[in-house]
Amino acid sequence: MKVFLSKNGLLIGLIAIFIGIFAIGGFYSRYVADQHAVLVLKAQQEQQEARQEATRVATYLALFSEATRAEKYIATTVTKTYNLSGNRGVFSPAIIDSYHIYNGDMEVGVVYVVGSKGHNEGLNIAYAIDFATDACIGVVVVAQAETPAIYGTLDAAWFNQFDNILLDASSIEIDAVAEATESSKGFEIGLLYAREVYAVESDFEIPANGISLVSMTYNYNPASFATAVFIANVTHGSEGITASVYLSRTYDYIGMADDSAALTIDEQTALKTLAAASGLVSNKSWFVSYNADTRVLVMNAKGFKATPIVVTITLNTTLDGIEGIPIITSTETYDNGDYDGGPAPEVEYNLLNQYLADGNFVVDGVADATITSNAMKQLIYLLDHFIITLTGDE
Amino acid sequence: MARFANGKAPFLRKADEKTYGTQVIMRDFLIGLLPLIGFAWYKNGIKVYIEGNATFLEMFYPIIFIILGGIISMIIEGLFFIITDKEIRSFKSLMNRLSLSYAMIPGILLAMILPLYTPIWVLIFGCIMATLVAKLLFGGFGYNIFNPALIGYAAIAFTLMGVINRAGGALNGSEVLVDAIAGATPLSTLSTTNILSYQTLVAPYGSLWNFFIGTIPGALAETSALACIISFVWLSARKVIKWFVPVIYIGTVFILSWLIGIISGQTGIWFPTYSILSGGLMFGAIFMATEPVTTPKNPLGKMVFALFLGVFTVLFRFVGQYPEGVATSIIFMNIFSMPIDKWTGVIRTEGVTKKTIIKIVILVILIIAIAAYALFKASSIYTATIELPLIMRGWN
Repeated sequence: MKVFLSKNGLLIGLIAIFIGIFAIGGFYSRYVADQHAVLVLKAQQEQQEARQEATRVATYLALFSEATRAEKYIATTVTKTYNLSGNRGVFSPAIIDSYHIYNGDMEVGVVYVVGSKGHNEGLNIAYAIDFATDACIGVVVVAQAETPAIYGTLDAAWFNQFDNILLDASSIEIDAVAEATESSKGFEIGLLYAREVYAVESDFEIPANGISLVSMTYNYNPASFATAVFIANVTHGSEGITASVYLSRTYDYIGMADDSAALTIDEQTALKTLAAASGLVSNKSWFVSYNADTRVLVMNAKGFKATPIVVTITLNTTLDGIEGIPIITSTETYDNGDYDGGPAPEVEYNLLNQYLADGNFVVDGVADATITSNAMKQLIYLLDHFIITLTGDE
Repeated sequence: MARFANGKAPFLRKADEKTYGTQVIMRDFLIGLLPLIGFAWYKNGIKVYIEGNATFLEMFYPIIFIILGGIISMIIEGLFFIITDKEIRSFKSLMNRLSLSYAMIPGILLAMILPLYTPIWVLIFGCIMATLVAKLLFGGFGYNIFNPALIGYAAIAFTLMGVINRAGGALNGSEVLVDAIAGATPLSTLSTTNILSYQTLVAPYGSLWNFFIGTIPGALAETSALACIISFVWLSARKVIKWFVPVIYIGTVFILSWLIGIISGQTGIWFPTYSILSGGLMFGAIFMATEPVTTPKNPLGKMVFALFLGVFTVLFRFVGQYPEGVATSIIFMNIFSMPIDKWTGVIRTEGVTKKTIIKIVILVILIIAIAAYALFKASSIYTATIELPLIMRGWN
C-alpha cells in the first residue's frame, strides 16, 4: 500500500482534487444559477408589469386631447354603497389606481380606475375626467370577469356614451344594454363612484337634485298597483314640499300619489336614481291584478328565469285568508345545479305552504334554490301585507 | 551579415538576470491581471451584493471562478506531467515543473473572458481544451501555436454557449433588472439591431463613461477599459509587452469602425469609441495579441500582426454572424504568426530592396483589401437611422 501510494499518491491526489472541484463547483454554480434564475423571473415580471403600466398610461393619455404625462397617486378613500341591478344586493366600489394627468406642467384631468361589479366582481374601469369641463371623457376597461357572451354585447357604440358625460348633471344614468344589464349597471356604479371621489378631491360639487327621498313603500291599492308598484315619499323644491309619488317597478315616475304638484323632469330623473340606489324596496315581486268580485289575486315573482313565476290566489270571503290551493305557473330551473328536489314549482309551493300553514310571512328558503326562494319570500311578504291592508288588521 | 558580440566570455543573456527572465515576466503578467480581476469581482460580486441582487455566497462566485480556472489548468497539466513523465513523482518536482510551465495562466485568462454564469464543469471543459489540446499536445509552454485560453474559449463558444446562457449568461444580478438593457451586451445589441444609433447602442447602458469604467454587461473581466489601461501601462513599463501592439490593434479598429460609421451615415466619434470600448477588444489587445509564444517575435512582425488583427476583428465583428471578433481574429492570425515573423524579419534586416519589395506590397495589399472588403460589406448591413416604436393605443 505504501509503495502504491508513493507511486500513485500524487496522481490519486490530483484526481481527487479534480473530482472535488467538479462536484463542489457543480453545486456552487448550480446554486448561483438558480438564484439568478429567480432574480431573472422577478425582473421579467417587474418589466412586464412596467410595460403593461406604460401601455395603460399611454391609453389614458390618449383619452385627453392634450396630455403629455401621467403621475400615479393614491386617491382619497371614499366609502359609498350602490344597489346592484337585479336586486343582487349592494356593492361598495373602490379606487384601484389613480393618476393626475398633465399637459406639460399643467394638470388637465384625472383618471380613476374603479373596481366595480357587473355580473361578477373584478370589473375594473378607468374613468377619465377632464378638469376643464368636469366631464367624463372616456373609459377604459382595465380588467373584467364578466360572462364573455353577455359582455360582448357592449359594443363600441355603447362605450361611446362615456365620451362626454357632464358630471354636474343632476342625474347620471347610463343606457343599459338589454342583454347585459348587470354589466351596464357596473359601469354606471363605477362612474357614480368616480364622481364622488372627484368631488372629494377637487372643488367640484355634485349638484343637489332638488329632491330627497324620505321613504318608500309598496302600493297595495288594487286600482293602481299593476303599474304603480311603489310609493315614494319625498321632499322637493326650494320649499321642501312633502309629496308621495308613484313609481314603476323600474322606478320610473308614474304620477303623484297625492294631490301635490307633479315633479319636474329633472326631479323625476333624480328620483329614479335615488330610488334605485336606496335599497328600501325590492322589485323581485309585484302585483298583477285583483278581481274584487272573484277575489282572485294574481302576482308575479322574478326568480332565476327571465319569465316570472305567476301565482294565482283566491282569497276567502272574509278576505283574511286563502281559499283553495294557489295555482303556480313556473318555468324555474332553480339557480344551483346542486338542487336535488323535484321540478318547478316545488320550491314555490314549499315556501307558500309554509306561509299558509301558520300565517307567518317569514318563511325559510330552500337550499340550492336561493334566487327563487328570495323572490317567493318577497311575494309572500306582499301577499301578507295585501291581506292586512284589505282587512285593516295589523 | 551576422552580428557577433564583442568582449570576453561568459556572456549573460538578459533573461538570465534576476530582475528579468520568463518567471519575472509571468509574475508581472499576473500582476497586470489583478486590476481586471479586482474590478470583475467588484462589478459582478461585491457591487451586486451591496445592491441586494446577490446572496453572500453568490458574491464570491466571480473571484472563485477565476481562481478555479487557474487551479483547474494546473491540475490538468499536473496530471499530464505525471502520466507522461516518469521522473515526476513527488509534489515538489511537480510544482517545479508547473512553475516553469506557467500552468495557471490559460485557465485564469479563460475564466476572465467567459460569461459570469458559466458553470464550473464548462470551465473545466474549456481548461482541458486550452491546456491539454492547445498547449500540451503541441509540446507545452513555448511550443504552442495558438493562444491556449482562446482555444478553450472557442471550444466553449462553439459547443456550450447555450448551457451558459441557460445558466444565466453574462448579465449579473443587477444588470438583468435594467429593462433598457433587455438582456443584451452592447455588441450583441449591435449584432441584432444593425442600427448605428447612440440611443440604441450606448444609451441603454448609460454613457460611454460607463463603457470606459466597465459597468456594462459583458464577459466576466473584460469590460473595464480603465482596468485594461492600468494593466497596459504596468505591462508596458515592465517591458512584458510591446506597447505598440495594443495601440496599433485598437487604433486600426477605431479607424475602420469610424469609416464604417461614416459610410453608414453615422459620423459621430462616439461610434468608434463605442467600438473599441465594447467587448473584449482591449483585453485581447493587451493580454492576447501580445502573447510572446504565439505572436511574431520581431517588432515589425508584431506591428503587421497587430494591423491584421485590427482588420480581421472589424471584418468578423461587423460582417460576421457573431458579435465579438477578437478571439476569432487572434486565433486566425496565430496561424500566420510564423510566416509574418519570417517575412518581416527579412524586411527588417534588409530594408526596402528588390528582394523585399514584393513581400511588402503583398502585405500592404492584403491589409488594404481585407479592410476594404470589411468596409464594403459592413456598409450594406448597417444603417444610422432608427425606426420610432409604434405607440400602442390600447390593449385587451
